[in-house]
Amino acid sequence: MTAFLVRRLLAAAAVLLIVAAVVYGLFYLMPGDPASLACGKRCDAAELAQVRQTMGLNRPVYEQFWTFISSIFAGHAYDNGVGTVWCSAPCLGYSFQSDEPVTQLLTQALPVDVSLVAGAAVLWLSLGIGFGLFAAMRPNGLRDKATTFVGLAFGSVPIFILALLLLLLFCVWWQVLPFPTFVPFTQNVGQWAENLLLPWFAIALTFAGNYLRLTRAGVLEALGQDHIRTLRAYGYTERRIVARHAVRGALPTVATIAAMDIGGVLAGAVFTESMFGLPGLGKLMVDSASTIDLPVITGVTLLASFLIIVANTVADLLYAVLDPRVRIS
Amino acid sequence: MSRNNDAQPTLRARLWARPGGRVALILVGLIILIALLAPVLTALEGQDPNTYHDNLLNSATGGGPNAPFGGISAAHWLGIEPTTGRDVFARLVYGARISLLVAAGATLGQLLLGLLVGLAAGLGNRWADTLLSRFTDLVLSFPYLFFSIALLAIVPQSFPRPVLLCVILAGLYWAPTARIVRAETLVLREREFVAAARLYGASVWRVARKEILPGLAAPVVTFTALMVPSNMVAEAGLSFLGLGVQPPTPSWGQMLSTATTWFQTDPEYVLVPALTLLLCVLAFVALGEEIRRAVDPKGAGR
Amino acid sequence: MFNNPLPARRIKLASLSAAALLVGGLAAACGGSSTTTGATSFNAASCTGGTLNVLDQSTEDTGLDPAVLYTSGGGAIPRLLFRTLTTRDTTAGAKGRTVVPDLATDTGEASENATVWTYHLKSGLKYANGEAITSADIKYGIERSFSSVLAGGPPYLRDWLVGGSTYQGPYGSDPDLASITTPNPTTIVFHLRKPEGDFPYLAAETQFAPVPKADDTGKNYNADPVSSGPYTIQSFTKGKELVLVRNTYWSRGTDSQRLACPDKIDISLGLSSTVIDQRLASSIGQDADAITTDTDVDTATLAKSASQPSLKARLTSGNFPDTTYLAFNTKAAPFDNQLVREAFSYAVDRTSLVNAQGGSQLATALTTYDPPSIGGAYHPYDYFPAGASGNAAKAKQLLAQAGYPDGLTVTLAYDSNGSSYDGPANAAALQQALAKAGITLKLDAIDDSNFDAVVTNTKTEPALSLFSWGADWPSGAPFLTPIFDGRDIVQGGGNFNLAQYSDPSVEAEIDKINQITDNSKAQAAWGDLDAQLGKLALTVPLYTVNDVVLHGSNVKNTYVDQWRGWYDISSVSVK
Repeated sequence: MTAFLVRRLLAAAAVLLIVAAVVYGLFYLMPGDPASLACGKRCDAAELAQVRQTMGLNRPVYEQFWTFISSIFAGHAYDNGVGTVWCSAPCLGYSFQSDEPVTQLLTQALPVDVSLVAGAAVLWLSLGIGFGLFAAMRPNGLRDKATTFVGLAFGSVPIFILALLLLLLFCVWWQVLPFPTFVPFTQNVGQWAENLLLPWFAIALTFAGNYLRLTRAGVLEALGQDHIRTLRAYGYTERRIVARHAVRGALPTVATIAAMDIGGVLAGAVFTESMFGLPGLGKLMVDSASTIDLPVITGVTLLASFLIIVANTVADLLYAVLDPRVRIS
Repeated sequence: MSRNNDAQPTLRARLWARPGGRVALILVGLIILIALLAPVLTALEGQDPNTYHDNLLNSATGGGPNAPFGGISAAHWLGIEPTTGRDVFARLVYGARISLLVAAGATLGQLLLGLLVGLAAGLGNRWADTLLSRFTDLVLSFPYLFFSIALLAIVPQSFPRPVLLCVILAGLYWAPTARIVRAETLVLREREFVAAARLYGASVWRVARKEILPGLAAPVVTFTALMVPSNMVAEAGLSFLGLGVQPPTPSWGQMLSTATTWFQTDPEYVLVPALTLLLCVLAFVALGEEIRRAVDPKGAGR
Repeated sequence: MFNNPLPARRIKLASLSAAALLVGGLAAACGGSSTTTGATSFNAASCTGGTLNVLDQSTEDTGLDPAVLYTSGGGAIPRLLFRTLTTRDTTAGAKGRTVVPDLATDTGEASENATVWTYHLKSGLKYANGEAITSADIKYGIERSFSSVLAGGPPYLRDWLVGGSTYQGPYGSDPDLASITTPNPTTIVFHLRKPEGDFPYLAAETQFAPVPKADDTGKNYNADPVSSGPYTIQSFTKGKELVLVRNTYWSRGTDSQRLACPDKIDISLGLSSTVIDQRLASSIGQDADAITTDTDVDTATLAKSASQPSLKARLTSGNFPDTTYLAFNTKAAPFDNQLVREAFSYAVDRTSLVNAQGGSQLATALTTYDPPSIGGAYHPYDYFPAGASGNAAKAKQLLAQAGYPDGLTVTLAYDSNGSSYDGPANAAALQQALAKAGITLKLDAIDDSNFDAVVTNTKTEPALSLFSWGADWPSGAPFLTPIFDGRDIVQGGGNFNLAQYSDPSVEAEIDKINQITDNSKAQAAWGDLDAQLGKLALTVPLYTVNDVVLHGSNVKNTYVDQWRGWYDISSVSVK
């Protein structure tokens, strides 16, 4: 088990390094001047030269990349025109346009995404697994076809349209919920939850359909196994069999995909955040892309990759833990 | 020895036999037809997607349509756009071209890249397989949306946007296809007829072409049919953020983004592109589902 | 000046603003707007007290150093901290466009043909730290604005003051600027290179705020400047919050231009425009005492206000003098031919452009270069009547006369994501309108960070560009001179005479008007000059932007200051 773990971690680290290289290469080596992109309109020629110097853009590529990587572990000093700013580890660059280390911007944005994902994941898993079981009880019957169709339909709606519809329904027409703004968990739990309700549902409804089908398929497959027949022979009720034994068959797949989806949502809830005004990573990405704040763009992309890699690793581990057959291979 | 089963009906025939399949095929065909015939249809209506109609707008209240229901009239079948007065029907059908074009181009790109990598991984030796699989895993670790946003913002406007969108979508989303192709290739490779072909001295390319590809057809077609709607949604989303094709070229995502500010005073302008996009996506998804069921009717509980 | 000097004015999130606009639109819908406006009327005598909240997009991350700020008439927030020799007249109506004395006893004594200006300071003026304000402090404040470490601010001082073009600031080896003299602590005299009748307007800029030499911290002064105004800084976190409290050494007795009713002003910085709109519209809790100094309402809120009288009552509409126009490069074909320029003037569809800005509430069509809000320098004229939607027939005729019977193709350069105008929307509208006249307009979208560098450099300037110009102060001088004076053509960047027009008779006329010290006469003369230049079709004026601004339901005395087109932060109250 530990060997497996160590192998996966090393692989993850390698992937992260390569991703960092690709990200850095793509953004900093593109045609166009990264310094003027990073500094924006604020900088005149003298300041631009200063920025170029402090970002090390005059040095050879491999040196730049090495500085970039080592800054993540050791920190880096930046001259932002007024004085020297120490960007402490993990230093993912310095945003000249907002006069802040990128890491600071990221740590402000991350709690929003965590709040978003936590609630949404709980919702989509409950809805997906719940309705999946519901459908699996009477396969190919009317309720099976109906729930599958509804799940599919919701899953096909582009999320920004779904978000729009939810806002209009609950906020404008029926006026049962306030317009969402982000209230931190530490400030007021009740308001935090109330404001996140619509974003949670927007994400959950989009994902639930897929989990519904996964659960249903996994359960039905498990139900076809021999040990289930034995349990039936023993006189267990169908509901008990499904709930306690068949679900276990679906669990590894569902858990794995859930872990990957959580990583995906953490690293890409752009539309949800835009529509609901949540100041998370997605909004940070959109804002920095519109002003082409290169250090922030790079930092956000790296963090997102990191989150996805972590999620994928967790998914692999979960699968190994939950499905003993994998461990043996 | 080829795998051509003449006894089995073709995929199209099987699809047509099912009622659901029939509806889906007709709908998708209709959508493609409308997109292709966009100039004809707009000529029928007597409008074009770019002409402004100031006289139909109420400047004092922000530039919304004068007539109710978004300005729907005999001359403007689906109303007019606020602040510009352009005909919505014309912009919709021309926008369909962009949506389908980008979706088709992206899907094609994903297919080609996926086939290339997947086949090479599945048919190659262990070393090639490991390398390519790791590469596929690597690409799967990229945050797609962030990457698309960043790339679309950085690449200058002079590069044609539809092409850029296809390139980015294809370049970022080919990995799932590659995985499936590899898995299926590995299975097929163990079949006797392939071994026989190799024994007869057929080269890897020939084996790939004549023995593996036909076997891949079924799962790949299924998967591809479901990639089209997700590429459509991806393009709509990127256009919604303002990163897709630039004005004045019409696109549904862009129409949606300007429409959302007008929901209070001109709800038709939101509903028209939203429902259209929804219908198209559902039609393609339904087609994909029907194909999957037609291809693999005995799939347990599916 | 070409960029609106009002900080962060009318900022639109670039092209990725779609969802943000949705947020604003629905937020305006969601927010309850049924809160009643303050029922009690405004009384200047009893208005003191309370905390005014300000919600701004600007991050003020360059700080508040009067030497580097580029404002119009002293700005909004800076004017609370910095008193200048003169200031704008804070009153409703057209008088709001004139200057009145602030630290000085009058608007300046002109002598020697308006090349020497003398000011006397009022008595009893003190900083927030109790020190007395002297004329030497004003001289020092102006001198430090020349230093290269404190870059920024309007360019006039360098050009107008004798020796200004070579002076390097007070931190170097030659610290004294001889053209400013202070014979005694309450007198200051300026020696100018040439007659400048508009000098009193310039004296309202923040560069004329006093800075005590002993308290000058150079580059760090912007974080904690010494206040000469009614408020002083209690705390300042750039990008987050600025809190102002009363300057106890200030009183209304020495300052007739600022009411300074609130005891405390709490400014939230770096907010998104949609959040600002939403909070002001819903006016809940502290937001009822809130205003903004840099964010207009968006089109959704505007549309909503049509059906909500209580919301509509809280909208103020004003106009800061600016013009968005088509700029011809008369040194580049085909615009060296006046007939072609006239053809374009006939072809434009101003209605579609106004609609693209959000309708007639947010923009007004212009046929003159000087907008009406500039005051006396506005003379109405319409030499090439395009009507509401353009006169394509006449345009075609003129093009044929000019030698282009089959139309022509030309490229329009515009700023694709700047904040002065909506580039893509304007370009699309122009393309359509000109197509009717046989003109094929190719579009060249230039990114905001490059736009100025390309267009204001005579070497790279396109033949046709979409440009916008705002008045540093409401007078024809700063509005017309940089655009039409041949001597102001700059090579290598920073050129605003995009027409590259040069005519010695016009330059002589400009010099003559600059000698006029009677403001109303001077403005009338500028108006005549504008009307005369209009005949040459060197530009095609398109529209001027209206500022429609919201304020909280409990904020009073929100008359529109005609200089800035906005309500005045030193006049509003929450009591």
